[in-house]
Amino acid sequence: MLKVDNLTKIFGKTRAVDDLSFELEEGDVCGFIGPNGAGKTTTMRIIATLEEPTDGQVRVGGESIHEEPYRIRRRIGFMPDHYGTYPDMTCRDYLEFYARAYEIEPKARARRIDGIMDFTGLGDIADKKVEELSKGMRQRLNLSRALINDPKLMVMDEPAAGLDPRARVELRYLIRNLAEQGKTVFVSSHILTELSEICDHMLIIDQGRKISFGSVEEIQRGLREGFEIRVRLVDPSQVEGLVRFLVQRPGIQDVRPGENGVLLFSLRDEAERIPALLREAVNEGFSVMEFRPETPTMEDVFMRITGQTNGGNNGNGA
Amino acid sequence: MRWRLANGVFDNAMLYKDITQWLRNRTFLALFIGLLALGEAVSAICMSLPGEEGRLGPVAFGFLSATMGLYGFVVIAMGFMGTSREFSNRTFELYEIAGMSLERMVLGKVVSILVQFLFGFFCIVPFMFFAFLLGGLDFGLIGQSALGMVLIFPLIALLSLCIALNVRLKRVSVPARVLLILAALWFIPGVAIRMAMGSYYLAHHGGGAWGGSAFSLFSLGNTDDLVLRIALYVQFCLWLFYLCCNSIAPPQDSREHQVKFLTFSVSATWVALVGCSNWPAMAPAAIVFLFVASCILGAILFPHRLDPPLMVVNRRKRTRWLTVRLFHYAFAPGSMGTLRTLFLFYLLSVVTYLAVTESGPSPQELASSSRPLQAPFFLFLSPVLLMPFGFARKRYKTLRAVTICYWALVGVGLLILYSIAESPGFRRPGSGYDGHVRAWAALGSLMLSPVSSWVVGTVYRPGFESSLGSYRLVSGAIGLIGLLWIARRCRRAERQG
Repeated sequence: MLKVDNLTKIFGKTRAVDDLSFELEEGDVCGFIGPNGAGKTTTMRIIATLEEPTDGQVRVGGESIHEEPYRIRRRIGFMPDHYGTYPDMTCRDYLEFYARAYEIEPKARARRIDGIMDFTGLGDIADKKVEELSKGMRQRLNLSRALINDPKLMVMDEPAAGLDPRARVELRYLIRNLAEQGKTVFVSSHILTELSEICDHMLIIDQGRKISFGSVEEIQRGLREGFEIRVRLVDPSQVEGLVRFLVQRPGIQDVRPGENGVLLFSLRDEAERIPALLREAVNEGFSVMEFRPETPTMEDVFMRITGQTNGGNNGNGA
Repeated sequence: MRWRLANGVFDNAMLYKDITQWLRNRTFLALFIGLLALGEAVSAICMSLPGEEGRLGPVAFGFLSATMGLYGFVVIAMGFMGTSREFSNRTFELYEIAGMSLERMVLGKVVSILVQFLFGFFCIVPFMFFAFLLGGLDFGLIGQSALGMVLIFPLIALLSLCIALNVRLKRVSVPARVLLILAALWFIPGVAIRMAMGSYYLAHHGGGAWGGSAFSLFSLGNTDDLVLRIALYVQFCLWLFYLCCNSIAPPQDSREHQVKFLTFSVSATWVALVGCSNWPAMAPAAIVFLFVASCILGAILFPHRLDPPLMVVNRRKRTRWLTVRLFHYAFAPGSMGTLRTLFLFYLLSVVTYLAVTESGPSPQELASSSRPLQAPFFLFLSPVLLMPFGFARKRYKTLRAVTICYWALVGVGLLILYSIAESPGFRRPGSGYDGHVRAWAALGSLMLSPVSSWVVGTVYRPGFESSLGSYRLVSGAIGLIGLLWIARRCRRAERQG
């Protein structure tokens, strides 16, 4: 559905996007992550045909943004990071305006607007003025606008920014529903835990360059070298003994005793070693209450990946 | 085509939005009624003044016209503010992504302003005809004033829209914004009020200083060149319209070729109109236009990206008509397209010059008529100085700024030099600085900057007016060849990255 090949965008001396390539299939939800100024918005604006790339190619549904920008615009729903709403207009007027802009047949307009308002939950406030809406409702209206042309690809730039937890949950639900309808969703966000919950794929960029692209599990698995294990003992006095026991075992590093019988260590080995290690500890007489590998959060992944690139670039190894 | 135009107007999203907002804005209606009441009240007071009894009609008509002018100004100001708000809300790119063409956006804006104007116009015009019943007014004059308002208003609306669209753009620097706002503040109310009062002056004085020239354009009395006048009016409106479109165009989808074509065709029509009316006495008016248009067009659009934007290239590829392909070729966006347009301007200047020489001009007319021929040379002169420096070949903004600064600074410097050479101290016999210093100062002024060339060319009587034409003809051709060379060097630098 979306194919980006060697995309490059240069502003003056700055390479905002640098040789970026990735591909999304129909129905994919892809999270787009990167620190501020990484080139996320520029990439999204190029996909939405609002910017011209310096080099490279973007294809939407097999058609190039260079050759068929107008046709591509009809297939895309773009939600920028600003609302672009008007005073003195009701929600229905607003959507009617964009339906006209998309040249939707007059007879089909009302039906389409009603359908979208039902989907986004704006049906009850159709005649309310835009200026009276809350931020969450405005974001829904913004989403309704982007959906008015029934796009195959949704490009959403920071849709959850500034929303309260409830509105964020609702937005997540809407995005999953869109994917179930077969729409491809390309969404950027700073709220990383949310992205990991709704996305099939993740694309991480920094300084315009692709750092990582794949499924959420692939990225998390690819990041760690072995496992981070958390152990909790019933009797905290056994912690010292467990430390001595662990350091003698091969593949175990960085053993860190904590408070209340908690202990953390790194295991640089295969996953099959984890139950074997637990069995050995129990056989040694340690009263183990909890023994589990810790999964890194998206924040951990993001910080480690972008930290690595910054460290690499700065040469300080941070 | 007709259907598309009708659809573009009647089912235009922008028009729908602006009119919906306008109808919901009660302040506007209150303001209109207030203005109307004020106009009526002032008219009534004036009519009751001693000595005005016999001129009730003209006085009432004048104040109604003023009310209309004020109303027009309010409409334009609101359109201006609404357009500025579109920029602050960053909504233009949402229209773009919705597939709305730039023409549709601007058409919607202009038509919505016109609808608001016509609402007031149709409310006030019946009162104007009522003023006729009071006596002292010519019925034809009222009709002509009403027609004048209807014709002038779209021009002012387009002009204000053009300013609004350019002022809000990020690429316009702060001083330019301040200048444009000051110009708008001075120009729009001035024109709006004069537009209204002009008819009053016409009624009393047979054409005021401003009203006379503006209304003569729409005068139905002179029908010899009416077609040319209408053509000029339509082209000028279209020119402003496409300037508006180009202001909001993304870099990959400019409307530069329409702007260039219309600049050229407005210039050609203006020359033709002047030629038809009072040639060669009016020839300087045509020549000023040609010279200024080609210099500004070249200075702004020659130091520019070299190749046309992708969307424009694709549009050209899809065209089947040869004439449209030629149009795309001759006025293409980018440096090479500008060079072709400048060549057409040069040809037009040659034709104008030959037409002037044919009609037996005075030496001054002969000297001034050759000025536009030299425009390409002036455009070539400053960038060529920067060509040895690699950085300048890729920095079009630098080239543009240097061209304009060079013209201004060198022009002013040469004028100062020429003034000194012309001063009585220098011209005193036996001072050691006789005629040849003055001649050299004049020659430098004529050759090195359009600013000094213009001023010195008007006052200096060198006695070689006939050979000045040949010199300018040759220097113009050298300028065109030089510009081609610059464009090629810049292209090579751009390709080498």
